[in-house]
Amino acid sequence: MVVGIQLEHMQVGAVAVLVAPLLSALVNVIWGRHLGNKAHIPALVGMTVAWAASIVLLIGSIEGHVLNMRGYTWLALGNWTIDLGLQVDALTAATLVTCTIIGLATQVCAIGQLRGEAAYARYFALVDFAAAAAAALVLADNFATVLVAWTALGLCSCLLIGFRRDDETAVAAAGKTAVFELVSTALFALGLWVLLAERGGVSFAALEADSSRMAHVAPIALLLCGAVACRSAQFPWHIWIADATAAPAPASVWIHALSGGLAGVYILARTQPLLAASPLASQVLAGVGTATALLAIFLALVAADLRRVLTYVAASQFGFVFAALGLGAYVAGVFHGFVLAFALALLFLASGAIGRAAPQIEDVWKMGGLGKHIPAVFWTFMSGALVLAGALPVSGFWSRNDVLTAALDAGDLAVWIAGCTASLATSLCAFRLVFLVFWGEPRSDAATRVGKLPASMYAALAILAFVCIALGGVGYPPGGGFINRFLEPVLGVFAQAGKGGLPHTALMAVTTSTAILGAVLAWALYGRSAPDPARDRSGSLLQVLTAEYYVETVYKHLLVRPLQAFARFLWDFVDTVVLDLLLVNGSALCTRGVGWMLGRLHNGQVGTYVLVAVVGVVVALSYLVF
Amino acid sequence: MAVPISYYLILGALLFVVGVVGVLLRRNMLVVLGAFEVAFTGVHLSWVAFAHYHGQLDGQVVVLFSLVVSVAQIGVGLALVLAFYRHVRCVDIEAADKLRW
Amino acid sequence: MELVLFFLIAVLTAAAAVGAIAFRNPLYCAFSLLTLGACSALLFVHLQAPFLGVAQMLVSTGVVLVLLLSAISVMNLRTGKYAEPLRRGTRSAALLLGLVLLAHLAWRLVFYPVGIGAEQKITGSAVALGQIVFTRFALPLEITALVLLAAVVALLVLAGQEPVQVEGE
Repeated sequence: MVVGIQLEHMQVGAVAVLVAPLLSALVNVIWGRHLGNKAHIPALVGMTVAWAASIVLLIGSIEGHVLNMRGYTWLALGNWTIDLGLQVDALTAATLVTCTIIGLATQVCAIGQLRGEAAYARYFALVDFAAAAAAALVLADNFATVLVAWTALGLCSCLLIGFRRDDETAVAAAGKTAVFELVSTALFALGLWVLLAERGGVSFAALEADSSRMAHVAPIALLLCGAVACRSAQFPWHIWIADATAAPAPASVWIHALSGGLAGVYILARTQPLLAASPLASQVLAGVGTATALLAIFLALVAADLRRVLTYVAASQFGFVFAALGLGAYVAGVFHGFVLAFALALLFLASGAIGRAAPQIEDVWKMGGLGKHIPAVFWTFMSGALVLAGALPVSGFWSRNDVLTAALDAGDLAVWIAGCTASLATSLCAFRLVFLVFWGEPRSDAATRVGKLPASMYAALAILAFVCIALGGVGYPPGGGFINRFLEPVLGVFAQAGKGGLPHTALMAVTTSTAILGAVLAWALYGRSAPDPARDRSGSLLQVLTAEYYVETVYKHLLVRPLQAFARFLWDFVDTVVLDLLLVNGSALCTRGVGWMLGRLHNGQVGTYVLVAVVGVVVALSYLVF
Repeated sequence: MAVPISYYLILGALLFVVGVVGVLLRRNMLVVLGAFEVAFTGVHLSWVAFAHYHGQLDGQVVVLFSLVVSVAQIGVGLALVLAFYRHVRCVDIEAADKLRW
Repeated sequence: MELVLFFLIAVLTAAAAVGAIAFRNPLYCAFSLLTLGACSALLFVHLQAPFLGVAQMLVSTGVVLVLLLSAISVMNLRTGKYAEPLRRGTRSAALLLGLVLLAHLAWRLVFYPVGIGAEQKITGSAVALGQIVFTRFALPLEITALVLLAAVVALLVLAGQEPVQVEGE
């Protein structure tokens, strides 16, 4: 690169990435009502500034600069210190660029999607705030800031899900999400607590010192992984994403792809020293990720709501990524994470466009033949689906291949087989969507009446589609591509690369074949306007899948019912009897009783008063005499 | 032979106790005032006995003043009883029960 | 000889005291008070306090009794109309207290008896008393005079109020 970016430029850039979205969020919060339909202008300005700054940071880190802005000691308590500061290295720059491009595209799309909404400004304020929180999370050099940003992202997710305030299901869904976000934050905080007790600090530098000699590596790593898994809807915390479709479509990008996906991947990448030092945590992570990859994709195969399918796919694919991270292939995992973020963003925005074009239908089985009406959406959706399926030569192929290769190289055959199955199922699912939504004959009346879409949405979709396809270039050739050279200084080389039994070309063939097989199956099952093969059978498998493996029922009986019973007990017994009756009313009754008794002494009779006086005299006299 | 002072003192104590019991027991206000008189008499007797015992007159001076004050007290008490009687038409102590809860 | 005399007068005094509080008829109570005053005057004289004895007769019998009798007659408290029970509630308490009080006083006196006393006995004559009162007890004298004044004013105010109108009698 001929552009000479110096550290000072990077400093300005880092601060700009953080401050610009925050400022535009503030502008929208304060003046949103006045701006009305123009509330997207400050948001776009902020996001564009952030994007430009992140490009600066990316170029700077490609040139090899690493920025460290140590600051400010926030807490110095005995042995514990928490320092706050910013840090920009290769991983940070790459993640920032991804976030800002996706954020910008989402906002451009939202201009068209949410046009005419009453709370237009509030949406942009929330999204800008989420962007600022994501920037803070990525730019931080210590886990304390990460925790705060993590919580802020969770808050934005909840607020975005409950965006339409008068819709009761949306508000209830937001509450459900809030529970899981809180669980995630609590796990994170617990992990940090142990880390603080162990090391006396929570900066990333504190981890870099020899992690294998820490006594409590496994609990810390497990807690942090748990926090990330909870937010990314890994099994068994997946029950909140089904209701999260109440959010507006561009918001789903933030909730599922960025906050619940890429942010988690970033955090796990930063805890890489811990994961490397704790085989237990890595195994657990890999196991949970693989399990989710399989389980979630089966849920996606039977779901009918378009956006719901996409959320399940997102959970499944990020499970895939977590499995890779658990196996030790950090670069491959992070790369796949970036690819997924772009692809899922594209798909969510496209689903939003479909929703806007054909507003009454969300059920895939009522769509069909939309490809004729909205061809641009069709082609962009197709490119996203190709990325998900992992077809050559788009980026999805290279990243997925990396992950599968890593699974085999690590010697974990079970994970490899599960991964291949999941890839097959993902490809099947993606093409199922393509065929059902865009191909064939319209299945309902509403599918024939398709409206026009605003130009902003097309622009957003086009940007993302381009990036999706082009991003493959950084991953080529596998194991030695640009992305590897870029991220390995930060994340470390995959120790077991090349140790698998099969040569790499064979593995590439396997990956491609899963993709193609999936597409063919989809064509066979759904392509020719065939009715839903799963619909007629009301077998138990279908029931289990529809109930999301009954996890919610388990939660209800294990956690919710006892808690409610306990709360009722607290109300009925503790509050009504002990507090109200005994303490409050009781003390009042006692006071009244004593007052009544003492009041009887004042009966107005002179004689009684004299009697009391004489009694006093006798008592005093006794004291004196005896 | 001379009388030991204790006998006078016992008599004085007896008179005092009788007077106090009378104040507590009787309902007629006038009788209550009279019972006060009885108690006063007991006290005066004790004082004079002590004065006699010590061979000084200070006790007798005190009794002199006490006599005067007791007369004043009885007089004011009687006036109060009279005023009460004018309102309530009886001298029952239990009728004076307005200062109550 | 003195002892016998003392006991006679003492018994009479005690009887008069008990009578003063025990008779149902307030008139009989007043007469008991008269007897009591006379007996205590006698006892004062016996204790070398003649001036006080005379003062007691004047005050207790003269003033107090006259007041009491006039009060009784003003209020038309005739005999026979009065069958007043002892005060409710305080009966047993009062008797108990009386016993306790007596026990207190008797304890000190019976177990620590006081003897004859000093050899020289001064007679409390008017001259002797006057010499003490007007020199050493001048301030209490004035204060007592003030108290008397206050009592007189109070009497005038209280007794001079208009009688309340009563229907029938």
